[in-house]
Amino acid sequence: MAAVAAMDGPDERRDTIAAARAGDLGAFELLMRRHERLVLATALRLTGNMADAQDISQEVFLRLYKNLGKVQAVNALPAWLYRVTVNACHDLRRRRPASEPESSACDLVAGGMDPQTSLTQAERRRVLEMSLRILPEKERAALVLRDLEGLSTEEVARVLGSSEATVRSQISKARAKVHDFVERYFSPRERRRT
Amino acid sequence: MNSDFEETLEFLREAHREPIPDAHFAAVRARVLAELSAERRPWWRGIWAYGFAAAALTAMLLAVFVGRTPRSARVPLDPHLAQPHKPHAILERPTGASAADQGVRPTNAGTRPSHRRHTAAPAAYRVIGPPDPRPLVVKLITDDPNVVIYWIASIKGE
Repeated sequence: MAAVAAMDGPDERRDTIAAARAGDLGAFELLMRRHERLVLATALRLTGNMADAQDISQEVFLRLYKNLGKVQAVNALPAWLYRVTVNACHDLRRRRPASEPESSACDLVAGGMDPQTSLTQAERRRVLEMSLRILPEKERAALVLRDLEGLSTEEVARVLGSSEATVRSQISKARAKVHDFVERYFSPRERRRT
Repeated sequence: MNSDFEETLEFLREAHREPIPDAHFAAVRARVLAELSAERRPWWRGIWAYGFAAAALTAMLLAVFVGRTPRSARVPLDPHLAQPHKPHAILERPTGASAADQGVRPTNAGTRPSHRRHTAAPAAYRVIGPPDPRPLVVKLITDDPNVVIYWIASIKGE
């Protein structure tokens, strides 16, 4: 970790990328340590399970190694990694559709106990994960990058290759769907009555 | 609605703020580095295995084919074909003519076999070699001590 800390400056980062480009695996490992949280966490949020997230992280770093020559600016590397990670998640989803059926919030309530009494942190988390999983790919990516990764709308637009207006629309729709899902889960009786 | 959603969003962020155990990162790093190391390995590093396999195969084939007795050696040869040029044997062969007629000095070589030559030759040649020129003498002793029968067998010509 000390080595990672040592490469915080832009010059050190540039030198590390240059060394990795020259074939220095130690330098490439430093690069991985620097960006592994970004890649693995994003992949985990997009896929919803650790095994897939690890597969995607491996693929992203192998692609990075092969494309080190194309990464010119040091500051462009995180955006490049986000883009490749999101694309790899989309590819994985196309190759291997989600095995778990996407249940609705009402199905979850019907199969479980009274939501009012099971309002634990673990369950809320599970519901939120489920709400992310029901979102379309683009909306989920926009929401994850904007609200969980903390990127600006402009950065999200650059990563996703869309316009800022499109990204704003996607984020808005995604938030509304998540909110609706959570609302329906925790107050289904009131909803059903109305 | 906004405050509700902000609460939901904050909980979502909170849930995803949990640190990922280092073991997961280490596993990814190890897999990536292992794959890169395998890709960077020079092609000739692994060729020794193929060379060893080829040498072993060659040695095996040599052992099978070179060590085997040739077919020609396993079948007994016609002595005339096997030894086409035997001037001494022809000379030693009895012809029935006198030594003067043959133009050579009579010796015992014709009647005395050359044991050296026979012992040196393979068993197959000894069995079907040229006939022994000495006459075969069988002495039969009867009950009567005054009567002794001699049976002499001689080979004339081929």
